[in-house]
Amino acid sequence: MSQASATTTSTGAGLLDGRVAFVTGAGAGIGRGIALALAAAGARVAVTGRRASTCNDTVAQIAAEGGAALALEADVGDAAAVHRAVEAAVARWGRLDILVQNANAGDSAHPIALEDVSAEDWLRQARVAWDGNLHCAQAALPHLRASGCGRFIVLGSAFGLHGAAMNPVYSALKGGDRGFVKSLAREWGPDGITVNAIEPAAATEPTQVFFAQNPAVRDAYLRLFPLGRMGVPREDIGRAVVALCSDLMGYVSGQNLPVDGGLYTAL
Amino acid sequence: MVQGVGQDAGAALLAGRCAIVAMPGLAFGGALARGLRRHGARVVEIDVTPGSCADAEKALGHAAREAGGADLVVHAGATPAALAARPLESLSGEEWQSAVHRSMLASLYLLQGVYRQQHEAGGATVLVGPSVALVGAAGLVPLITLVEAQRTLVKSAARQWGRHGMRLNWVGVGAQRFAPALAEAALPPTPELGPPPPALGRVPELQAEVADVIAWLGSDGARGVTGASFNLDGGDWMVP
Repeated sequence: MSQASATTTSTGAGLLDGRVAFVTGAGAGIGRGIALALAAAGARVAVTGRRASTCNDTVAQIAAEGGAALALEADVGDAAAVHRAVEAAVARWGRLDILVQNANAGDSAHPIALEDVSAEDWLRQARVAWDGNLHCAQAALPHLRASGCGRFIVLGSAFGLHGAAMNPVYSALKGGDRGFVKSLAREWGPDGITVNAIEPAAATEPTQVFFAQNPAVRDAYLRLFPLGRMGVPREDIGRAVVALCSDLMGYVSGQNLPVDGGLYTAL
Repeated sequence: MVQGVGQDAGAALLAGRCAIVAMPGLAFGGALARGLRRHGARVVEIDVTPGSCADAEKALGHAAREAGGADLVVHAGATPAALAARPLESLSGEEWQSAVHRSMLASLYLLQGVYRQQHEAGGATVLVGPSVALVGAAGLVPLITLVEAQRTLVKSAARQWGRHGMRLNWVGVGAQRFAPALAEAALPPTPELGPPPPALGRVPELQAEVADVIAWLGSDGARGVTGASFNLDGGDWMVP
């Protein structure tokens, strides 16, 4: 199955004209794909990471494609840093309509035995995932309220839906994300803000390297996907985020949406 | 006649089995313990919020010696901070830490302690949470985040520890059965527009109906059941 089918579909150009988005963990991987897709759809994008320098390539590509972007430093585990970055984005563009909390600690693919998990193992990942959710939500809320079309999106994982023997810490955190999103959607609904999660399956750069080195594992894994391939960060995951952020899906809230080529169908 | 309430569930499902009920700070553990005793189990309750894996190992080891084993462990965990309803925007960092991280770490340590007790001979574990976690609730973002994480942890533990003969499942109970304090929360109404929910006309009672299901999960009859979620709210929320 080629990936051409994913790359020749609409970019959603114009769907997000006038909107301002803030994407965490946007220097690489799925976050970068989301930032590029949002910009291609017309949003001005604050591209954030623990170090602003990691976001420069994403910002440069958006600019090269004619979009508007800004690299900002935002360690999502640091409430003050997130607040500063959100305010910087608002100062630059005058508003904030979309916040995508994509940052994660990078441990999702690291096998760990549950009986050996330490407090440090938990807190290192939870600081980014859960504390990041809290800090992003609190910093963004006044602006999303003012937006009139506020969107808050958390990047979950299929691990959080079906559990995972490989990394029970990551899967528990992602399961918690589901509860966070469902509850916050109810809490923020009266303000006209939608809150959703996307559970993506995408071949990021490290995944592609791993698969190139382990073709048998790749072939076995790809057989799990009814569509026969893993997603492309920008074209598959990013565009799903664009759709959720646009008026086309303005009536969707409190949902956990697997964007995974048909991998998880148990809901 | 209302079926189920106060009725004998039949044969003692846990005759000769040892059970530990670990629900620190939550009042409903006693009712579940009584219900499990009705099924023939020797039951020991512990009221310790473990601050480390060693704490949990010690508490569970002591309880297992007192009960004669740890065939079934029933756990629920949520700090008072997790049970307090308030908007997320007004939550302090300390309140968030206490609600989600301290609660979650205590449950993690408890499960690790269960592993020490059950990994050689196998056993059953049931985590209990409020069923409203399946649908979310305004004002309860920390609690619902915590409970959904616990429910997912059950699935992952079931996957990792199944080879040791360990089975882990999750049971959802009515929110006010879980903690009376949740009566003050803005619990979402069910979408049912017909007769008032729940479908059974009542929220299942802990000592009888909920304990019956937990006893079954701890019995040989459920030897093929692991990683599952059981919603015992009388038909309030019927999830996909």
